[in-house]
Amino acid sequence: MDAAAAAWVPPTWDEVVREHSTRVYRLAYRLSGNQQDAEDLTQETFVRVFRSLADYTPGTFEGWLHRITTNLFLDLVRRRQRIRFDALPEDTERLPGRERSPEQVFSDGAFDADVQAALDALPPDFRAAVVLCDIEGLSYEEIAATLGIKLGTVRSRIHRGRLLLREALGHRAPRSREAGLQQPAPASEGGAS
Amino acid sequence: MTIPDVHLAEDAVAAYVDGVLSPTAADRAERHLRACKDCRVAIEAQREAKAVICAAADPQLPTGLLAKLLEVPMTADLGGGDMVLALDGDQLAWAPTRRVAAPVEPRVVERSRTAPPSGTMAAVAALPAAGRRPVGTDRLAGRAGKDRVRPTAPEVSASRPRRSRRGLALSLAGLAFGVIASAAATTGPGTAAPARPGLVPGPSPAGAVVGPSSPMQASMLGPARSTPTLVTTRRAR
Repeated sequence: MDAAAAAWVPPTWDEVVREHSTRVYRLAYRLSGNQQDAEDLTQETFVRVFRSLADYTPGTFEGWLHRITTNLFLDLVRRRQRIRFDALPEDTERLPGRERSPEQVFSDGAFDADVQAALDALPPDFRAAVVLCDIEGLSYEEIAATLGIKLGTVRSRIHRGRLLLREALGHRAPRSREAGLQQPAPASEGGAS
Repeated sequence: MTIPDVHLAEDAVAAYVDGVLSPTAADRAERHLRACKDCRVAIEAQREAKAVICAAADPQLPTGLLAKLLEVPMTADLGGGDMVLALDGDQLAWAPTRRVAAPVEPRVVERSRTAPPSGTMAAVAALPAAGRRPVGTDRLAGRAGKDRVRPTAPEVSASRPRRSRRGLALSLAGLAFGVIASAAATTGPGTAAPARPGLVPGPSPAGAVVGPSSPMQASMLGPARSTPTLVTTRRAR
């Protein structure tokens, strides 16, 4: 490890940004559900990265980025909830659980608005677990570390998050729901005596 | 074989679909699934949801964002935000927001929000005590829409915890000294001389040193930007 660390050549900032920005933005977008917040989260993530580069230990860049992005997102959600409780009138339009305006859905256009809307309907903690698992492909252990929760909690959040997501999709895309219910059960009924 | 009374636990359903059960547990789950239609349906529901999410197309990086990210070393403050993250990205602390009528400290408003001229390192670093916030944090806290200009909420920005500010100010002051040392070592002839009175930075929040705060940051900035430049941030009064 020491040898590897010694041989490690720091990447240029250009390389860091070009290699990781798409992934960070994708995570930020899936978590926040809109381009505006996703851009802000992405930028803030890279600001944090730049700020902490001096202490960065090679080998965990992706995990590091996941953690920063996810925690910034959860922080953003909490901050907005607090603002809501403070009842600032001019901030009412920025409340969490926002509905996407038709323009927003349109501008986000090219990719699955349905899926994103279903993700948006999940509680943020569940959304984070599901997104990290199914979009970012993290292991349960990595998700537990990223979110600072126990493995069992990761499992149940993913499970319930997916069920909620499926429900939300069911309203918008009945066909996928029917397809799921009509799915033939796995064969081998006569397997056991 | 009769249908067992005990079904797969919820978290086992997710774990089974993701293939992370231990071989023994997976074996047991499979035996149960053969006999239990309810659990097969539950598994199928999980699979379906997972497939839908996995199949979603990736959002494309918006135009302009890449350029902004590339400019982070030139535009980002090194001060802290509302949230304190550990080096590994863990959330260490999170500052409760209080509503404060007036800013706790004078705010420095000299720096334009737009990117500084390229080639300068203006505004890379600013002591948090000077009242600056990371660009992104401001926008996260208070921005409403791209095409609408709204003032950021002073209630939010004015309420940063003094404790974490001081801690950050101290650590950044430490960084600043490091930068001075490295600037002294790397600044060649012809570059901006950091010797003008009033520009000498120190632990006081009145001056901010701008420049890479570590060899790694310095190397990442590339040759064109590696010359530390000093700027001052004057107090607002």
